[in-house]
Amino acid sequence: MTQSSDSFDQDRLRQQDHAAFEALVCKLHSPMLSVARAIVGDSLAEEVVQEAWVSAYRNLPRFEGRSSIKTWLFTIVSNEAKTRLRKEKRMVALEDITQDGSVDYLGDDRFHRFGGHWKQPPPDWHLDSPDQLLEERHLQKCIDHTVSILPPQQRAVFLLRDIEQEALSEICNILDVTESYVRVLLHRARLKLMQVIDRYQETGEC
Amino acid sequence: MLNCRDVAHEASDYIDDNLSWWRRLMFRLHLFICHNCRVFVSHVHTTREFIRKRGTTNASPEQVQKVMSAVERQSEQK
Ligand SMILES: [Zn+2]
Repeated sequence: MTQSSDSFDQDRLRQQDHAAFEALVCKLHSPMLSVARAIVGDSLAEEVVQEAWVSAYRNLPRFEGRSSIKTWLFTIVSNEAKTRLRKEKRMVALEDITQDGSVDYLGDDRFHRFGGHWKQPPPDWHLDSPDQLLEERHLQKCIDHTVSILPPQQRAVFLLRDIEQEALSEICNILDVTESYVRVLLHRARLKLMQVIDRYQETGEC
Repeated sequence: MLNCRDVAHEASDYIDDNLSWWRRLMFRLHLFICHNCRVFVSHVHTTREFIRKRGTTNASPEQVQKVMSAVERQSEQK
């Protein structure tokens, strides 16, 4: 499932080679969708991403390679989404893309009020390496599900940073948010996945 | 001194190397004396590495097909 982060054939892409482009779509459609959702919300995201792909294909011969092809594409979809938002003259309700109804993993009951020591310490994990976790089939489903229900901005930050490994500064540009906010969202997303792993280690379920 | 609550909130910044050198030093001092926080930070780290190793989710063939036909339609139009 893993691959080097930017292993796309740029020469063939510049020549608008269909197979190379198709491989790109296959790999990057999901993160592109998350970027669009984080900016325009669910209902317009699909359309915006289609337009972004069409415009990317058209502009491929002019891709100069000053950034990675991924960053270039995320910027295209982000611009497409921001333009669309202005055109529609409707603001996506902010709570739609930022809302987070889940219970805080680091809530007040987790620490002593005075002194800030752990009241409920982190549980021990019997599977404590990434490779061991990767071998658990059922856990992968739990993780996929949890990622799919993250609030849109959180999901976009998480996919861009932890999976696509975009730089924090690029993520700020793509999503139009500050770096400190990106870091907050990233930590929250990771904690949600950790919560799932905690439960899985304890019960074998998610 | 940092307490456990601080450490838990800043654990991602610590493993991603986004803390100032002074904050980082304080953080390490706390880890040195606190078993629970060492466990917590190692869980955050394992989670990050696990997610990286899983890699990307590919688009479904239908999604890819939809994009490819839109692209073909557009390039025929010019
Ligand atoms: Zn501690």
